[in-house]
Amino acid sequence: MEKTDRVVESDVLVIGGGLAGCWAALRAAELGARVTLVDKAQVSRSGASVFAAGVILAPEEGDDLDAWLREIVENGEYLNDQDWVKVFLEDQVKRIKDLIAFGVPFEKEGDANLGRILGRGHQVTRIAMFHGKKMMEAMRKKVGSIKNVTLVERTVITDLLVKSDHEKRVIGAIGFQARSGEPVAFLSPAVVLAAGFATPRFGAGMVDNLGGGGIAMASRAGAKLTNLEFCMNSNITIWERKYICSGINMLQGAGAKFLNSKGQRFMLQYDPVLIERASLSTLARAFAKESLEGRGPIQVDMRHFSRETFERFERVIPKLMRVFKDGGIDPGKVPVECTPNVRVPGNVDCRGIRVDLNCRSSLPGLLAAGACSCNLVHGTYSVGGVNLAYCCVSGYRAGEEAARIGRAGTVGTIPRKEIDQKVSLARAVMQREGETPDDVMLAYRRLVLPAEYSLFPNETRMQFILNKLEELDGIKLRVNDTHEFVKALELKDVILCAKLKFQASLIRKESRGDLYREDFPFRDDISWLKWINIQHTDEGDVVDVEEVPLDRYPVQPAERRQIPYPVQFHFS
Amino acid sequence: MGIQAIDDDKCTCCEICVDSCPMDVIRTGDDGKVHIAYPGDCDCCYLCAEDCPTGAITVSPQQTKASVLCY
Repeated sequence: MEKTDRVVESDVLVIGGGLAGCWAALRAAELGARVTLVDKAQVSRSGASVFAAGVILAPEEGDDLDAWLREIVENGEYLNDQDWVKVFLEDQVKRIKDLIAFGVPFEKEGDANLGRILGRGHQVTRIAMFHGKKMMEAMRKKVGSIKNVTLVERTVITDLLVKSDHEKRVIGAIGFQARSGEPVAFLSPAVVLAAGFATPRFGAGMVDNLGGGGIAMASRAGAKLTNLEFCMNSNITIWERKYICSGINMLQGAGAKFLNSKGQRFMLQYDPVLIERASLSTLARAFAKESLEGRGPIQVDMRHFSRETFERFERVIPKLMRVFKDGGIDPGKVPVECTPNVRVPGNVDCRGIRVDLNCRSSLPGLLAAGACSCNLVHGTYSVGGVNLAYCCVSGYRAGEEAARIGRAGTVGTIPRKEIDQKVSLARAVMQREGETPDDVMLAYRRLVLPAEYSLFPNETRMQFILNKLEELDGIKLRVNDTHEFVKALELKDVILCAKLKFQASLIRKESRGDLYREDFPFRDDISWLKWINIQHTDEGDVVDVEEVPLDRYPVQPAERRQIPYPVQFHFS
Repeated sequence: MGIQAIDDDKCTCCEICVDSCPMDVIRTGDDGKVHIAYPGDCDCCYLCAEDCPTGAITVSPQQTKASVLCY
C-alpha cells in the first residue's frame, strides 16, 4: 500500500472555506488555536456563499426578538429548536455588526448602515442586502490577515479519520490535491465540517462544486444526522428553460408577480397571505401543478419595477442581470419564463449533521456549521436570509468550541495505517473500465428529478427510487485523471445523500416543508411534530424518531391538527 | 455554451482564472499557456470572466451539460 507522506497537523481543522468555514476559522484563531482551513477550490471562489443572491437575516438592537422568534417558528411549522432560534437571533445582531466592520458592503438606507427589506416569508423579520462575492472577498481578506490560519486550497477532503481507543472520536481527515491527486492527511483534535450542501454538477446554477461530502463523510463516520427527509431544494432559478441563475429572493422581495398562461396571479390561491413571497417548496409545487394541469408556462413579471429597483439588482444580483442581458431578455419589458430547479439531494436549509448549541455533533472531536449541519433554527423553512445568518452564527460558535477542544486535546500517535487504508479506499472508486462519472450522474438526475419522484412522490415511487439508487451505486466508474476522480467521489456522496433522503422520507408519513407525499398530503401536527435522526453503525442504520419538546418552548401551535398541504397533486 | 474562449491575444497567462474556477475547468498546460481543459463542467458562473484583468474570456449563459427539468 502506498504511504501518504504529507501530514498537516493543527489544533483545529475546518473543512470548507465558505461563509460558515471562514467564520469558524476566524473565531478559533482569535482564541489562539492553530487553524487549518481547507477548501476544494479557492476561498471566495468556491461553494454557495460566493453566489449568495443577496440577502441575510439582519436583526438589530431594538427589534422585538420575541416577535422574530414567533414568526420563524410559525413559518418553520414548529419543527424548530427554539433554544437555537433564541441564541441565533441574539448572536446575529453581533455578527451583522462584525460583517459591517469587516467591510462587507451592505445596501444602505439613508444614513443607516443597513437598508432592510421584506423578502421570502417576512412580515416582522427583515433582511439586509449585499453582494455574495464581495462578502466572501471581505471574509477571505479577514481570514488571510490572521497569522495562525493556514489556508490549504484545491484540496478535496474525502473522509474523516476516527480513532477508537477510549472512546470513538474524530481526529482529522484525509483528502487529495484536486489537480495532482497527491493524498494529504490532516490531524486535529477538533474538526469543523463546513462543507456546504449537495448539488453537484446538476446545473444547479453556480453552486455546482458542492458534492454533499460533508454529510456523506459524517454519515460514514457514524455521526447523527437529522431531517434528511427534507434534503432537497426547489429554488426557482431556471429562466426560459435554459439559463440557470439565482436571485429569486430579491425579486420576491421587490414584488415580482408570478403569472400562469391565463395571466393569473395563481399564488393567491396557494398562499393567500404571502402570495408570491411564499416558501420555495410551495412555489415549486404550485408552478409544477399549474404547468402539469395545462396552465403553463409560468412567468415572472417584473414590468412594474422601477429603474431604482433594477439598479439595486445590478449591485446585489448582477449575475442574474447579466444572464438576462446575454440571453437577450429585458425583464422590464417582458415577463420571463421560469421553472423550479429541483435538486435532490439539495439541502440548503435545515437538514444534515445534528449539532448542539455549541455546534458539537454526536461524535467527539467533530463539529459542524453552515449548510452541512442540521439548521434547526429553520424548522422546515422559516424565512429568507436565515441560511446565511446561520452560517455566521454557527460558524462562530463552532470555531469557539473547536478552539477550546483543539487547544486542550491531542490526536495521539499518527494513525499511519488508517490513513493509508482510507486513501486506498477512496482510490478504489477509480476503475479502468466502466461508465464515466458524467454519464452516471446524468442517469441519476433523470431518475430522481421528474416531478412524480422529486415534488410529488408516494411510497411506491420512493421505494422504486431506492432500488434504482442501489443499482447506480454499484456501477463501475471509468476514471481517467484526478479531475474525473473528484467527480467520481462526488457522485458516490450524492447517491449516499439521496439514499438517506428517501429512507427518511418513507418514515415520515405526512407532508411538511419540502417533503410532499401524495399518499399523505397533509401536515400532521398530531403525530409528526418530531425529528427523524439517522445514524450509521457497523450493524446498519439506526433510526430514532424524537419528539420536538414543544411543551417547554415559548411558541406552540394553537391546536394540533392535520392541515392540507398548500399544493395538492396526484399522479396516480 | 458556458465558457467559450480565452482570447490568445489578450491572455497574459497570469493564471488568475485557473485559481478562480470552482469547477477546475481551466488549467495551465506544460507549455505555460492557460486553456479550457474541461468545458463540459462549466457552470456559467462567470467568475473567470469577471476576474480576468484583460477581458480575455467569453462566457455564454447557457450550460453545456444536459438540462433535466422536473416537468
